[in-house]
Amino acid sequence: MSRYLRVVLAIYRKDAQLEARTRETFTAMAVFAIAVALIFNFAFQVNPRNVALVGPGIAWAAFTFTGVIGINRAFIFEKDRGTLEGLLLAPAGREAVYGGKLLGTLTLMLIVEALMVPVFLVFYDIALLSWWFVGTAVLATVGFAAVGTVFAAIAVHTRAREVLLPLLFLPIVMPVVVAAVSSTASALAGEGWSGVARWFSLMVAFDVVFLVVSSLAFEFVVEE
Amino acid sequence: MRARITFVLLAIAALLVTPRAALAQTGTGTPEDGLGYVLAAFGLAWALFFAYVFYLERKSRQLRRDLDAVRRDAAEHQRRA
Amino acid sequence: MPATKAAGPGGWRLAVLAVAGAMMLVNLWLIFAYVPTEVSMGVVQRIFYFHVPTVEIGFVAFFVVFVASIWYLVSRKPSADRLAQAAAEIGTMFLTVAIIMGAIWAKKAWGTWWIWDNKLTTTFVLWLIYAGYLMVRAYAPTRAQAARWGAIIGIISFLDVPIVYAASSILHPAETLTTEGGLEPAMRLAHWFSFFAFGVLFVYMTMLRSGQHHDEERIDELRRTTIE
Repeated sequence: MSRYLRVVLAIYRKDAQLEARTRETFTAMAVFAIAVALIFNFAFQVNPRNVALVGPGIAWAAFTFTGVIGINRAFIFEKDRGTLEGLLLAPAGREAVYGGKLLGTLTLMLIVEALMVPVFLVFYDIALLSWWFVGTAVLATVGFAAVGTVFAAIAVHTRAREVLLPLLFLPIVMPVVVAAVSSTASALAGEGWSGVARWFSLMVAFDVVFLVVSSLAFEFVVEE
Repeated sequence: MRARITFVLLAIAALLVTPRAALAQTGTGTPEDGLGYVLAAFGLAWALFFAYVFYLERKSRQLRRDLDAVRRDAAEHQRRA
Repeated sequence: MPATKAAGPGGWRLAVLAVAGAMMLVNLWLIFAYVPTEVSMGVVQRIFYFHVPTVEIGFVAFFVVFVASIWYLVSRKPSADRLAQAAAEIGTMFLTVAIIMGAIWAKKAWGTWWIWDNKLTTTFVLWLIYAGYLMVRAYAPTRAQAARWGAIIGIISFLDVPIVYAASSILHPAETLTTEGGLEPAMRLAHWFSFFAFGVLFVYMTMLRSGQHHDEERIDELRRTTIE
């Protein structure tokens, strides 16, 4: 296995073990996601008549805001303990650090999204789960994590990290949010491939562009 | 100083020309209230641009003064060292 | 310190300002005296000749930020970074004015201050991106980090703009008054002249702002030497 892959997996495993032990971030994200869904329930006065209309939007609003929390925490631990520089000395270079952190954030977000599926079934009586939804969730979350990891690396060095990250992140991922909500709505309506085709292509394009650009950019973020 | 005069002249010119030129168009039978919007839009745009340019020019002058002051201090410092 | 040292860049800048001012006066004449009144919207349509070029310059400014950011990451020249920052600041200003003018025009032409069509959505997202860019620079602990991170944000964000446009276009296909559908040659001339007039103004303001950053840096440097 290449050195790059080994370092990526090593970082991923370290973060996974840490998270499994404390479950701090996961719990915060899960509770927050449910809280967001709750607020939107009252904000839109959700009822059986409008749930098909606002449901997908609420779901992705919850996932996006929760995602910001997860992304925020990607580097906080290392930064606050002062171990960030050590991590960056990893043999396969900075790209591996980006890859490892990306995978960690991605996993966390996907788990929370999976958790929310039954929650939405219970609270809103919408059956999110379908192959189209799974595809949407994976594509969208990869996009979130790709961009978010770089921005988190920047924001973690500043005084206003909690504010700066959403401010940077949310406008950039707007296409992903639009695509995710539309695909989810389309999937719920049973439209199949024709409904989601354009949106999937958009998300794939976004993911490819930003995975490449972000991994290159990461080098420059953590320089010196 | 030259810059300041240029500004004021340009500002006056713009503020004079815009309403007069806009007024000249009302004879073509367009509704009166459209004029209000035109004046508001152009007036606001001019005001914002001029205010910002004024602010920038003033800041530049201030910075130039600070720079000269610090240069003098540095020269003093050199001489004493 | 001889005063002539300051006269160099200042002289160029004043020349650009004079050109910008002259072009603006001609521009006003074109907009109000030369261009024929548009049939459906009347006088209000003339806002188009200010609003659209300022939006276009806002986007051009962002392209300048993109190029300057790449140049900075490659060359590490402070002048590249100064250009990027100045272009972003002035670009934000242009976009703000453009959005306000657009809202005034929209209120009269459509009865509503805003619609979420593809052009307006993309413009608004761009404005937010600019705001993020400026905030990152403001919050960065060191000048070097501000430059580097700004450059990264500038590059990533620029690549995002076409995708934002694509997404909002799929969502809201067609529409928006594109009065440009039937632009007479006189209107086209006025639009492009206005674009170049604002372009020169943009160049002037960016030179001004960039010069200020340079002065600020020199002041900081000198202050540090006197402290030693």
